[in-house]
Amino acid sequence: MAELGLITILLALALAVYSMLASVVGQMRGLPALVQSGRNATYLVALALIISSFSLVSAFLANDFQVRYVFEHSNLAMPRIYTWVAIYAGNEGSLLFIATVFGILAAAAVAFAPRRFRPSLPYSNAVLMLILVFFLSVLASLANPFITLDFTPVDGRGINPLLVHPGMFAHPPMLMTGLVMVSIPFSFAVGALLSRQVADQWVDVARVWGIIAWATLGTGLLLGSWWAYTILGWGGYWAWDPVENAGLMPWLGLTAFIHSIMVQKRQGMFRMWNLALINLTFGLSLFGMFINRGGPVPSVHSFAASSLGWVFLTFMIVGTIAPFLLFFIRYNLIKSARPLESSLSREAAFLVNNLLLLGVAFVTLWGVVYPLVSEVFSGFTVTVGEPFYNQVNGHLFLGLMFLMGVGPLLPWRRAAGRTFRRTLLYPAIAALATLVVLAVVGIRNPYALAAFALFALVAAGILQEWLRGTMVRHRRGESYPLAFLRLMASNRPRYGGYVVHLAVIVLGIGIVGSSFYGVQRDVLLSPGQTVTVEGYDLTYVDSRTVQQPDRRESFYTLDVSRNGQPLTTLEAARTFYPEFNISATRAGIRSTPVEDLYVVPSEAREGDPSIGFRIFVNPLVWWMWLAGPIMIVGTAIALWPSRTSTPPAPTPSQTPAARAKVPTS
Amino acid sequence: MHPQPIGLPRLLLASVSLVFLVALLSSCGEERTPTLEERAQSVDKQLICPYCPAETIDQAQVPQAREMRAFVREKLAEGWTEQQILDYFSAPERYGLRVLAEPPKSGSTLTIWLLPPAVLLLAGIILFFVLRSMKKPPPPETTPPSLSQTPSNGEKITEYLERVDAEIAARNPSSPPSGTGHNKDPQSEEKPGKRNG
Repeated sequence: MAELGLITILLALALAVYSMLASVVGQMRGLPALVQSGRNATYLVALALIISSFSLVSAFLANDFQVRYVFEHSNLAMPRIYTWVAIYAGNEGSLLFIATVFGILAAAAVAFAPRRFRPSLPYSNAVLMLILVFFLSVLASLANPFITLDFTPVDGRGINPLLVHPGMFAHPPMLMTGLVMVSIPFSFAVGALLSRQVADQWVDVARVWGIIAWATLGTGLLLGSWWAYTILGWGGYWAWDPVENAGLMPWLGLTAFIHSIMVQKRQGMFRMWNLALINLTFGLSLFGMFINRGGPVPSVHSFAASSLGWVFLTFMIVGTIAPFLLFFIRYNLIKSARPLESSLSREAAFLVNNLLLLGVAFVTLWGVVYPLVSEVFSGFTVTVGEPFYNQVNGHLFLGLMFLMGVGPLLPWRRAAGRTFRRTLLYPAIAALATLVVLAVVGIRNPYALAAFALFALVAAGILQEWLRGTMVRHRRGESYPLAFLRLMASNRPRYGGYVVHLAVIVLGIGIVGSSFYGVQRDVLLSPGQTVTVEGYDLTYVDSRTVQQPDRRESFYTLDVSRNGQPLTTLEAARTFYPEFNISATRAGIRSTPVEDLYVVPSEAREGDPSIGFRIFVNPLVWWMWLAGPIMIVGTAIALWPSRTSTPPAPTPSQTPAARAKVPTS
Repeated sequence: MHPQPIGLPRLLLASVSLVFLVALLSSCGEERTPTLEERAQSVDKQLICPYCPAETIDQAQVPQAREMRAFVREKLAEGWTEQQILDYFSAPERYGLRVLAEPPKSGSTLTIWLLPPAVLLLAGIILFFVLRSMKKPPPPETTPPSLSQTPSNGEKITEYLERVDAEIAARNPSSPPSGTGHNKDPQSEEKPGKRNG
């Protein structure tokens, strides 16, 4: 099976090169058959990569330890279901996974490209294949997952124990998929530049793929936080670690992109900016891959670390600079359809939103690379940790929240000052009322106060929009629920976006609550002993230890009560893997919308029955995990194709340029 | 709505902010002093464990981190300030600046703090000028002579243009034929409410 895996990789490589050349030559010489053949080759690449991945899976399932990758990332004791995780647990396998996912996505992107994008499609196809050729060359030479050993070991080394967690089934694949998916809107942009079709033909399709990538990456990041929270046992979920930042930056770029692309879609403006923005985001995703593959910065997530750093560094530099060169060559072609009418308009708000989002991305990038900069220029080794990011990005996030409240209330093109003030009245009252209530209740931290007030501003603005629209429809004779649903359906990108904004609020509530009001206690308890933390009485009942072939699992039981009322029994676990000399903890968590009680056992000491526990009370964390499903629902609403979304006439005739002339006629 | 009640929102805004200010001022000074353990935890979170990658001594579970945590508590109890402890660990003869999670806002690491605001400020200034340059005067044909009766009132023209837009969009056959006047332009959803309400 190992041979089949390598053969299909080489086959995919050859096909990808062919597809690239055939598309470009076919399009330049005007040979539709050759273009079609190139497109078919793209589909075959995906097929070949699927076969290759399956041969790796079957090597795992057959416990074929002669394959080095299987030997290193699996063993007989590993539950079969974790094969899925083992596939991407190491450098080579994760590259194959990325290449396969990318091959499938590229085929889908090519297959579902709308007709009006057809003139640019061969170039986009070639760009996609070029990126894939890079991955496949690395797989075929430097990181071959199908290398076999000279002998067949009896058992493998086993999977990294920190990865044995349900969150690992979805978090890494979604993060990797999200990262490579940035390439799809990027390839549409580059295709547009190469084919000189730089007006708005690429916008719709790039927006859809951009939103899918955004949601995938966002879900991956959130699942990563959840994994960190439940298994890493430090009570937190985000540490601004380089690898986390590497996933966050392209997500921020995508967030900026899916906002500003709306302006181009609706108003035909910011054409230059959108092309530059997606190039930049692609660069950030390459930076993310570089950091993941043996980046130069220490991280707690170095699972797939490898010696491929320089390869990915080169790829990153070329992949970032080349599209910008192209952009400058085509600079004169890209012009906005009409000028900006007012700074008090949604277009302008989107620009400021982009400024802040890229600001956060820049601060994060600066924090990641600063240790290297400092090392080179001043010879000091410094660390840039959480406090830097929290302080600098915290302010920017507050600014973003404000924009999120005000921006959607601004109309396109120009807001009439009076109308706008009237629209803003109730949200502003809601914000101030929240401030007053929280201040009276005893919240003193100015950042927490500001954040909650802004959350109220955003939420009230959204509710007002929904209410107003529903009322208007109701007055026309629709029942309230029907009116609301029809309202949502009438402008899905907009109202889906509002749902996503609500998800951000919900996420923000969790983050603010737990960052500013978390309580942490370290205690040493003997069996039977009780400790009181924030009104909870925790009694350490007992522990039991189970010896497994590859690990030692210790379970600690604690009874929790409050004011004499028993609440629950928590079980926290600590598992030691002698093979890896790693301890993995599983926190005992009682999660409620108000607060989480979170207990982690620390190391047991030989001959000492007492155990150290770290106890956290994290307010409002529960809401963070709720944000994920809400975000997905909102994204689905925004993306849901509407029946009328494919008008036969190309949209330029409806663009504002055309509409702006209407009043004269 | 009538054009008059503009005074009411202002009044409301002013009174609410007044209430807020009063609440804020009356509450000042109520901040309780943190306990020794809370202070120690804040120090823990500012010290990177020298023996493990990218973890603070608060997170790290190696024995050295535990010893450092004990040291922090001991010294705080002896009356050291947080800064003294940080200085102690980050002295060049001990671990150096790399143990600090937060680079000092002085000396050679000042650049890390200064660059972001500088770049953002610069970007903001650029954005300001870009916005201004994009705001070219609208082409003359967009101000039709029929509206010249209210040339000084830009708002009315905009409102008129918006209304025309909405009507045209409503008649546009490519927009949803729902018969409810809805089209893809968000304007059209808001305006009925604004005009009727």
